[in-house]
Amino acid sequence: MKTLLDVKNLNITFKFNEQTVEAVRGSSFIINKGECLAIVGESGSGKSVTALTIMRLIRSNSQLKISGKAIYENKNLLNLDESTLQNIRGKKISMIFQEPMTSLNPLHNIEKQITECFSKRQSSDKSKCINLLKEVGIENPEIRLSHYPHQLSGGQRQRIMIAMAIANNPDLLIADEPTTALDVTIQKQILDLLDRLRKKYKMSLLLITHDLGIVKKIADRVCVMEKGIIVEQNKTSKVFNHPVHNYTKKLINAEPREKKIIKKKKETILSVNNLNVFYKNKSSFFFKNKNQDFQAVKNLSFEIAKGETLGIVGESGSGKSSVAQALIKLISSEGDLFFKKKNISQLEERSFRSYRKDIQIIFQDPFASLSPRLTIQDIISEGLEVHYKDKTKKEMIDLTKEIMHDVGLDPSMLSRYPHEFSGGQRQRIAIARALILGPELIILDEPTSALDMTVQAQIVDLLLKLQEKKELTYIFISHDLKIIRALSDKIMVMKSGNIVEFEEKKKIFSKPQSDYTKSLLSSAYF
Amino acid sequence: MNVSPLTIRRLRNFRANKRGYYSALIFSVLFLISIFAEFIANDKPIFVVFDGQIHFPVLEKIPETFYGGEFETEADYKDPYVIDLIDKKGFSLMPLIEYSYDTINYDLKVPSPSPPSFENLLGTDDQGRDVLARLIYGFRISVFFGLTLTILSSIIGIFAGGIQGFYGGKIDLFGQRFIEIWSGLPVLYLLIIISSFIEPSFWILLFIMLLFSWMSLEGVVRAEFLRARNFEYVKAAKALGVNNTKLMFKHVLPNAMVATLTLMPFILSGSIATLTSLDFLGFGLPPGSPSLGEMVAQGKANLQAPWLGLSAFITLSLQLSLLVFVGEAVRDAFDPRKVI
Repeated sequence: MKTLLDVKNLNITFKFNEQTVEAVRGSSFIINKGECLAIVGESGSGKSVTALTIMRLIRSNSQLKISGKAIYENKNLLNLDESTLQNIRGKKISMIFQEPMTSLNPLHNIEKQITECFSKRQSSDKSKCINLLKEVGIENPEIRLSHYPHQLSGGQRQRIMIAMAIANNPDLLIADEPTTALDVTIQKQILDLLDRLRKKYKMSLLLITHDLGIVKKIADRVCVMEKGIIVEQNKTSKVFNHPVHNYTKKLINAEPREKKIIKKKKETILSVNNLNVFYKNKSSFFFKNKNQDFQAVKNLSFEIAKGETLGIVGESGSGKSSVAQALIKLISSEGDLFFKKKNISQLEERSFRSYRKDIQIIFQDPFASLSPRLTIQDIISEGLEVHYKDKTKKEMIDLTKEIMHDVGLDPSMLSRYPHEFSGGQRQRIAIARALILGPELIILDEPTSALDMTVQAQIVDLLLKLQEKKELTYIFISHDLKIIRALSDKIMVMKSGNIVEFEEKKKIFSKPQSDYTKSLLSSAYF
Repeated sequence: MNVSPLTIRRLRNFRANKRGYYSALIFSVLFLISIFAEFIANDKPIFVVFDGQIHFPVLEKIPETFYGGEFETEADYKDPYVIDLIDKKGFSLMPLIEYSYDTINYDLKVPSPSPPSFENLLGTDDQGRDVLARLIYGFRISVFFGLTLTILSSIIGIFAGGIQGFYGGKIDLFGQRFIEIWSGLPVLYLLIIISSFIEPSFWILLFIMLLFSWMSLEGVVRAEFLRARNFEYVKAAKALGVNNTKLMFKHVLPNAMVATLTLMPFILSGSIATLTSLDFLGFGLPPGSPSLGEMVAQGKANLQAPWLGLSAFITLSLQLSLLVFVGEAVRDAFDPRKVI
C-alpha cells in the first residue's frame, strides 16, 4: 500500500508562565492510502494537538515549539508557506471537529457554507451541494440548503461538516472526536457514514477518539498515545487481542466491574407518582404567549428501594436531567414525591432544607460544579455548616479528612483549590461533598461522562464500594449503557419525557421490548 | 496570611502591566502627600517649640495671648510680631509651602493674579491665593470625593444588581423599569435647582450624585448574577441546603466582583470629572473651597494668566490618566485569559 502521510519524530512543546509542557514527544506514524488510522488516548495525551499540527492550524510561536516532519506528497507540511498550504488544506486534507454546535457559522445558510469550500465557483454549485447533502444522508436537501445551523440537530450539523470536508474529494480526512458530542444512536449513524464515504472515495481517515468501541469497529490500525508518546502501534485486531504495552492493556481493561444484584426486597425509600416537569414559555407583560409550555417530563412514576440503583438512560433532551433536578426540587414540578413515606412535593424550601442532607446530587461536569474560589476544605464542609451548626471547626476538619479518605483522596490536600486537581479527583471531591452529610439517596447526573475511560472505571468502582459500605441508594443518569449496566439494578429507558421501558437490568439487556431500546442497545459498541 | 494562588497570579498580572503599575505607585505617592496637605502647605508652622514645650498649631488652636500677644484670637503665624514673640522663647518650623488654600498673600508686588515667583511657585489666583497650595488641597478633595462616591455607589449598585439578578422574575422586571425611569431624570437640572435654595456642601453633593451614580454598576452586576445563579456549583450548594443570602455572598458575588473591580477605576475617574465640571459651572462645592474645577473656571476668566489654566489642566489630566492606567492594569489582572 502506498504511504499517504508520513509523520516523523513530531515534538510539540507548550510554554506558559515559565512552565513547559511537552504535549507530543517524538511521535512517528504513517497513514496509508485508503486506510483508517485511529489515534486513541485519554484527554491530554496529545491526540488533538497532533491533528491540529498536521493541518497547520497551530504554528510555532513564542509559546509553542513544533519540530519534526509531516511528509505529504514529498512536501513537509510543517514548513510550507501559507499559500501552498492553502491549496492543501480543505482540498487534499480536510478536518471535522468535535463540536458540531460551534463549528458552523450561525449567520450563514447551509448552501453558503458548503459552496465556500469549493475551490472554483461555478454555476453548477447548487446541484453539487444537493448531491453532497444526499451523499451524507440529509433528507430533503433542496429545502435544507436555505436553512441555518440552528434549524438542524447536532447529528445533522455533523453531517453538514462532513459534507464540507469531502466537498473537494480530499485524500485524507482528519476526524477529531467526531461523535463525542452526539447521542449514541446518532454516533453509530455518523460513524457508518464516515466509513462508507471512506470506502467510496478511497480516502484515508485519521480518527482521533478516546472511545475504544469505535476504534474496534472501523479502524484498520491503531496508535495508542500516552502523555504525548505513541506507546503502541499495530493492526486493530492485534492491539485488541494481544496488547503489548501496559497502558494499552489498562485502556482495554478499563471496563467497570459490575454490581452484585441484591436479592431480598428492602423497604421503599423514594416513590414518585405522576411527575410532570414543565418549562414555561414566558408571557410578556402585555401579550400572552400563545405557544404551549414545553413538557420535559410526562407522568413519570417509579419506586426505588433502599440500597438499589436505578439507572435512567436516554438521549439528550429525553428529560433525564429534568427528573434529577425535580427530585431534589431545584426546578419546580407537579406530582407527588414520597421520601420514606413522607410527601415532600408540597414542602416549602425552608422546610425541605432538612431533607436536603438525605438527598444529594452529583453533577456531570466536575469542572463546573466546584466553586473555583473556595478551598477543598470549604467546599466539602459547606453542607456541614448548614446542617450541623453545633459542630466545632475542629470536628468539621476531622470529618472532612475522614470523608476524603473514604473517596480515595489524600487528606493533606485540604487547603488546595479545585484547579489543582484532575477531572477524576474533582469528581471525587464532588462525591465527598455529597457524602459528608450522610445522605441515603444520591442522584448522579451523568457523573462520568466528562471523564476518561480509565477514570470512569475508577469512579464507578468507588461508587459501588461506597454503596456497599454505606447502604446508599443511587439514581444514576447516563447515556452510556456500559456504565449503566455496571451500576444498576433496574433500568428506565426514557425518550422525550416518557418512560419507554422500565425493567430489571437483565431483562432489558437480554429481551428488550420496545424498538427504541433495541436501537439503543444495537448502536452501543460493547 | 493565606494568599490564594489566584490572588498571586492577579498581582503578578498587575505588575506585568508596567504602565499601570508605575501609575499606581505615582498615584499612591501623590495621594499620600495630599492626605498630609496641612503639613505641606499651610500658613501655620508644623510645630512650635515654646517655653520648652512642643505644640502643633495645625492640630490645635493657640491664641495669640499664649505667646504673649494682644488678641484672644488664633495667632497669625505669618505676622512678624508673632514670629518675633515665638523666636524669643523658642522656635517654629514652617511647612514647605507657607500658604494654605485660603491664605491670601497681601504682599504681592503685582496685582493678582500674580505670575509664578519664588514666593508663590505656581503664582496666585485672582484673589491672591497660592495656586500650588490650592492644587494640593483640590487634588485631595477630588480624590476623596471620587473614592467615597465610588465605594458607596458600588455598594448600592452591587446590592441592587445582586438582588435583581439573583431573584429575577418580577423583582428584576420592576427594578429594571424603575432604573429606566430613574436614569431619565436630568441630574444637572436637579443640582441647579437644589443649589438655588441650599448651598451644596461636600456631603450634600455626594448624596445627590450617589442617587444617580449607583446605576452604572447595577447593570453589570445584575448580568453576572443572572449568569452565575445557574452555575453548577451554585446549584450544588443549593442542593446542600445553603440559604439564599449565603449563596449570593459566598458563591455568586465573587463572580460579580471581577466585573465590578474592572469598572471601578473608570467610575472613580468619572466621578472626579463630574465634580470638576460641576465646580467649573459653579454648582459644585461652596465658594472658597479648593477645587480643581473652580481653578479651571478662573483660568478661563483670566486668559492673561496662563499659569492658572495650565496648572489646573495638567493636574487634572495627570490625575485622570493615572487612574485610567491603573484601571487598565486592574482589568489585566482580572483577565483569566491574559498570559504574561
